[in-house]
Amino acid sequence: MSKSNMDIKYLLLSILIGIITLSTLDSCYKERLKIHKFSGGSWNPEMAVPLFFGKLDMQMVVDKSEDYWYEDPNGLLSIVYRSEQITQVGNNVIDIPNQQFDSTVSLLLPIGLPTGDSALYLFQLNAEFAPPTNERFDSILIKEGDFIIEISTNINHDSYVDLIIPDFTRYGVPLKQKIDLPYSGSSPTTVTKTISLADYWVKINTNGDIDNKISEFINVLIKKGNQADNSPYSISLSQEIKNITYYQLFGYFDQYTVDIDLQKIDISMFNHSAIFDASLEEAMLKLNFSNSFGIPVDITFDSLYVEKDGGTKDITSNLLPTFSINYPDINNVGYSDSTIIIFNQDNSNIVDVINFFPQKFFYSGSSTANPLGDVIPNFVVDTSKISIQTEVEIPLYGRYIVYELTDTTSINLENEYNWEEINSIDVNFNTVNHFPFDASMQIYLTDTNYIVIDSLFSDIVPLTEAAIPGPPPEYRVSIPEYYTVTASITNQRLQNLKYAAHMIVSGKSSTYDSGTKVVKIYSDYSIDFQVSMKVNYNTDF
Amino acid sequence: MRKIYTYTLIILSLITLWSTKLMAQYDLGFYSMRAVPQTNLLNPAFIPDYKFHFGAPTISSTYTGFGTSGPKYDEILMITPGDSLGLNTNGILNNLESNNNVINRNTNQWLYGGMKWNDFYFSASASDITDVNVLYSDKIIQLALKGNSQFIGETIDLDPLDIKALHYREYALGVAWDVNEKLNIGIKTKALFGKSAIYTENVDLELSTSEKYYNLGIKSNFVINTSLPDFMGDSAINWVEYMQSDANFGLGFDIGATYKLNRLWNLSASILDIGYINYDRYLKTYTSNTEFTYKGIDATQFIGLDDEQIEDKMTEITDSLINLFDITESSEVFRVPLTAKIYLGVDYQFSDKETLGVLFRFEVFKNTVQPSFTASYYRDLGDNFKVSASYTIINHNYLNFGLGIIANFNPLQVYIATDNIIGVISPHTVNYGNIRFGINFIFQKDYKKLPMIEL
Repeated sequence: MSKSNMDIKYLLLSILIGIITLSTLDSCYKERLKIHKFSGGSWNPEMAVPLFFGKLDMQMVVDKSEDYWYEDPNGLLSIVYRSEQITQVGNNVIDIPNQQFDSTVSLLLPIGLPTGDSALYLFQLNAEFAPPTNERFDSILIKEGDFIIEISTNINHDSYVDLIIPDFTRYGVPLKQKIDLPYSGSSPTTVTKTISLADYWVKINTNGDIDNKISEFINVLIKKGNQADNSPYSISLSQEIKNITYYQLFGYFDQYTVDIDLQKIDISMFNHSAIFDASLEEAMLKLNFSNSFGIPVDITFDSLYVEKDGGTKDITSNLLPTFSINYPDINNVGYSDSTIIIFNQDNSNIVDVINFFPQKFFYSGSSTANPLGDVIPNFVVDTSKISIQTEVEIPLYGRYIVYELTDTTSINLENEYNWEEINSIDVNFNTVNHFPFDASMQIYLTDTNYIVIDSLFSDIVPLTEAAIPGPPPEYRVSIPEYYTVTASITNQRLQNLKYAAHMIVSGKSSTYDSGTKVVKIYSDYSIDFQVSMKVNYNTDF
Repeated sequence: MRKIYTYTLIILSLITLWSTKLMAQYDLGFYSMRAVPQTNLLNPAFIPDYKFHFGAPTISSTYTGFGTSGPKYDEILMITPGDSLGLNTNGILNNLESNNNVINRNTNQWLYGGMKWNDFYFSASASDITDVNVLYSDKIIQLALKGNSQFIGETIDLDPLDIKALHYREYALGVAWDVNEKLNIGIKTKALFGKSAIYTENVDLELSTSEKYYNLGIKSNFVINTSLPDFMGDSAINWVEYMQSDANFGLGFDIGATYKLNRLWNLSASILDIGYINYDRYLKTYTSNTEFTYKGIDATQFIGLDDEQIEDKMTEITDSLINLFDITESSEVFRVPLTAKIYLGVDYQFSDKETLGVLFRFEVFKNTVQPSFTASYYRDLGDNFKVSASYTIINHNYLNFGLGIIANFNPLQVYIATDNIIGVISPHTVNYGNIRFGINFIFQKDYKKLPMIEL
């Protein structure tokens, strides 16, 4: 065999061996690597993640609460429940009755008065203003009202009447009204005139004269016609003031009484029906009367009590039942004067009443004007009123134990999650508590019949511990309390979630040292909370 | 003099043995197979003993190699009871080192040729190269597979996490000079055209999980550069356009030298792939530089909201969580350095047909030197066959027995070589495996005097 032939054989053999080797390797790789048989795997991580956090401070509670809050200069918070009642306003309390003045004057024409000449006559009348019994109206600034004048005469010539009332002024100008009495050929001649008294000052008793008289001046002018002189003539004046309302009324209005209707204030902080053991150290009932009647007034309370679940408790005090309130003097017409009556632990049983944990507060009574009957100058304006602002102020100062608060929620988690893939969950509840009270919680899972099938913890456990209050009288917390509690839930217990129909959250809380120590709640207190979770997860993919 | 060589060898060996356990791309036993012209790729001073040669188009030299310093294939995957293949998380976790890498390199030489002219040897080649280096820490795998609860109370550094994945076309021109009887020097210059790339810079990731609260502290500082052509979207290109693209230009060069100490001893050294590629097409750069602590969702923001408002709020929160990472997308031109390699070799030719060789190789990736040591035996079995056997220590792995075969059938040359024969037979059981295969047409110096093959 030639060398060339040997080369070719070796070449072909080499290539053949190479191809067989590569093919074998390729098929071997496929079989050995089995990459076409890859079916996935199992993933079993344990993740530790923060879920949520937050900070609840008293400012947030104050801002979002429907209750009213008061913060004293030291930051001590009080819950304040308020109401306001307003009595009837001035015109509805002091009424000015309609007034009627009737008078007649007679006159003679001068003898021989030539036709075409005139004769002038001047009369003064004193109309009497008649207030209600025992009342006196000195002056009135009229808002609305009518002055109706009806004149009837038998004068058989053209004539007119000028009516001038100096005590009726508008913008300083006395009331003056000319009324023509034209002769129509037959007698008597009757003319009616209506004058609006809006914005007139009516002065009845001035300069120390208390006679309820109004002076009127009447000028009568008769122009002699061709008719015969049938003197003596008469002129009858019928005057009526009616439908008077006023801006201001001065005088003396005697004694009168206005009812203070039954008023109710809800005290929501005691609405929860949980078993509640608490002792509040301070409380205050504040009544703020604002009086813009220029009249001495006495307030008398018929009822002043609180109510809880149908039971009542009266507020007693040496200030009750009647006390006087201030009123503005003549120099402060249109203004009000206030009187604050405070019921506290020194002058009343208010602390006992608050520790009754009332849900409602009631009061009713009346106000009496000029209670002593002394005739002194009074005034009233159209907006005069007595307002009663009531505040029940409860400082957050005391101790409490809430034995149990529960809340039930319906749940259906059967199809929500693939619980089989979770091996276990550890949930950490972390708190940094500045409040001098603790909180405990338990979550129960029940079936449709409310039979407990599992609970989050083995027992009700603290979620947060109370911070230690400082010494009295501030009782201020300076160091917060750090606390962590962990709930461990196994896969077996997670399965219970599938069958749970209700979740009952049960909570307890008490002030420091199991509710035996007095604390105060300041506006800068807060609680930081954070919930984190460690979950062991196993899934096939 | 001999003592100096001996000490040098001992020091280099110790460096290899005590080096960091990272896998280098390697092509070691092939270094001694000088009868194959492509050894010039490993040292541009090597001058094949042929007047001229050229490779069979597309198959003149095909190389594929893989490696991992972490878990092996059969440690990552396992046979399940149903005879399917499943992920073996315990196998992965039990075989992690603190720092791990995964490498893959594929070279396909489209064209190759060379010729001698007086004392010079010229060569030229065109190749496509994919080079993937991924460096990762055990922490990131532990975190992904077992979660973060194992690190509660700790701050873990997820570094290193580096990726360099390149595909580029290399046009190389080389020249070697037979300076004198003892010294050869050579250089090869390369024009490079990047096809695609993923390249990370400044990856700095930290995760902390606090006690009880499990607050997650995240520090993220990274730049991920990509040049990935769009094959699917509106501005998609096809594969032909992709392969013919002349964008993303780069330059590289190799240098080498050989020195013949005496009749028996030869020294050689080379530095390969010094250079870079500038990527300026199909760019997307993802940047993050943020540090934050996630404490959960602020529950107080839900107070007073109705169901619809809560849903809106949750959407808002989800968006804000994503935005916490502050990952910005831009288009930034980036430069990728080639993975440089250093070869230092000593040959002892104890007969005309037998050579013993020792080779130290160092690869530089992300400021990390990854060394290896190879001892080889080369035997010329006659005109037609030559074989090489090698033993390599790399990454504290001592069971790497290589084999190379050269079959010459003038002018045809077929060769195949591997550094780990077990890796070829059973790749799923080894950390490393590679194979080089090719066909050349070689023409001896006195080719005209050789008889033609009778077909």
